[in-house]
Amino acid sequence: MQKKLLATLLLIIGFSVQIHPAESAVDMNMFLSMQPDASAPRTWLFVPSALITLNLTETVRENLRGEMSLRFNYPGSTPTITVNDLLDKVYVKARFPHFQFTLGKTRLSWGDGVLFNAADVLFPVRTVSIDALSFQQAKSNAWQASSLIPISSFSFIETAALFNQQAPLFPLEQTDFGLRFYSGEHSVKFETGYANRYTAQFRLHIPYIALQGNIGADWYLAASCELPESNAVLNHGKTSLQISGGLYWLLPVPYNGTLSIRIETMVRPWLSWKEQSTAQQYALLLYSEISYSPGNDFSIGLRSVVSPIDLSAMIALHGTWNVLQNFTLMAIGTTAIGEPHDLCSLGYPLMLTFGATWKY
Amino acid sequence: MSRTNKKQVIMVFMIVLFFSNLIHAMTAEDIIRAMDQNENYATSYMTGSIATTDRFGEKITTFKAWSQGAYDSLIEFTSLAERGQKILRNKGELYLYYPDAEELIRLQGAALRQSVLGSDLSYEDMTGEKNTLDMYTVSFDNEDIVHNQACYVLTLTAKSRTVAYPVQKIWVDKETYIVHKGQYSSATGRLLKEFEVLETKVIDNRTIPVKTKISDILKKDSYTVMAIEELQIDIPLDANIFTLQSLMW
Repeated sequence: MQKKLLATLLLIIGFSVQIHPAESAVDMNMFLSMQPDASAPRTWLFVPSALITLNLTETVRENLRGEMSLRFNYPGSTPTITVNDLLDKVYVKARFPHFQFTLGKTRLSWGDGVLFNAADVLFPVRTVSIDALSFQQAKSNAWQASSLIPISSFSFIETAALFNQQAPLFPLEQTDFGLRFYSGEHSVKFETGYANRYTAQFRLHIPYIALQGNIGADWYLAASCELPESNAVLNHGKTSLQISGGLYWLLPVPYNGTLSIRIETMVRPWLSWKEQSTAQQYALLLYSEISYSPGNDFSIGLRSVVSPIDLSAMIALHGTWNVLQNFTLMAIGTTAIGEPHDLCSLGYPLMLTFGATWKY
Repeated sequence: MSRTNKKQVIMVFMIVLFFSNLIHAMTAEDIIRAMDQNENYATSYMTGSIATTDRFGEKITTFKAWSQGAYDSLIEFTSLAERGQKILRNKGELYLYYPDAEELIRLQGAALRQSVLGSDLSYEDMTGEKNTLDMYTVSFDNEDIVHNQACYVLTLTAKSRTVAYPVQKIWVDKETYIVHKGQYSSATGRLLKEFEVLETKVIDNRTIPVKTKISDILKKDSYTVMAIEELQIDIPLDANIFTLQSLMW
């Protein structure tokens, strides 16, 4: 059954590509990672991987648009592949004079932050990993119905209902709901919202607030907490409080170059401020990133995530080179500082990843 | 006419000539203001491309852009790699929209002066907000002929380090005030890039450069050609274009 579905899907897509060749795109990301083998000295282990996305986009009369995107991931995270895994994105958007709505599988990004974002309450990302593949795959999409209602040129209200991907019939009690208000009318952006999320044990009420402004550098700050419906787990509300913040500088450097610097932090004040014997989430995490680009084709940078409590860190040096039209080469070297049980432990001393991306 | 009368007539003529020259001679600053004014439009819509060529080949980015007044602009990239990415700019903020992640990013400050896709065009350049004299001091060098057009030759020296090129020498058309040619140098006077207009068009009685080339002097066979394929100026635009709703569509 699953094979028939896949075959039908591929046929439809193949047919669509023929109809709308100008709106189709294939994004191929291929990586070769290597790391020393801990059990055999002077031996390296190689891991090939690929992420291929086939994308079809159509816009009709400026007020209706749809997109379908298939994602092939090798090696996959599960031994079996489902249609839901393959369908990375599929949605239709319609725009009316006073609102627009989206129906299908896509993503909503709330708040600000590259690695730490307390306001991303519908799609929380818990990873602290900054190696090449984790960065590519950290963000996922979800089946949803959402609407955007403009209030003025730079403010709007957004509502969303997200359906549980694991349940075949999307029961209402397992649906996540979200609402946010966004205002960029003033020098400080003000964003606030609420999510009601389903978990296997209880539903969570998650309010959040996110601000963004400029003090020479761009700054952003967000806070959220998960308040369970059940009184028996009130402690969860306390421990789930998280505050994220960041500073971002984008500096022009001679001659037509750009230097960008980003510092982020995540504080969960009710988590442990002392080092534990096993790896766990601590109360304080830091992320930093510095990147230099002399033009549009080449960039080199260093990013790191630091856990100051257990004194561990993951550091990645990366470079990208857009050598040909739509073709980019990349290299990333990742290493970690700390003990094997620390939060930022890699499990290996060094990983080198070389990759190429091609879009056609 | 007596000899004395002749002398008086010549004196009066010379005085009139002297003062009329004073009245009509443009200062270097006036030329820059006229040049900036020539690039200001109430509204505009354009489609175009930025083609970068180096020893590995050519890379082309295509875009659509709308602008209104001194600050508002919306740029949508249409080339494959960047398709659907949009940039909305108003007076104090820059909003980036990445459709892959449905992500809206708000930037302020120095981001407004960043170049578009690594080209020599900043986001400020793509709107009407052009005040060259805020960033440069200017001096008049001489006059020259470029592309069969009489030009003023001016040297611009940066007032701060926040500009891409510390020294610019430009050739400004005496009639249309477009820049026909430019030489961009480092603070020490080392020539870095050369600019030239390849093609102009007259649109609504204004002469507008529609194809320009910037050559990188330090890299052999490296240059960027920006071409405007369609340009409409001072046209009615939908008020909703410069909104977040339009950006996130």
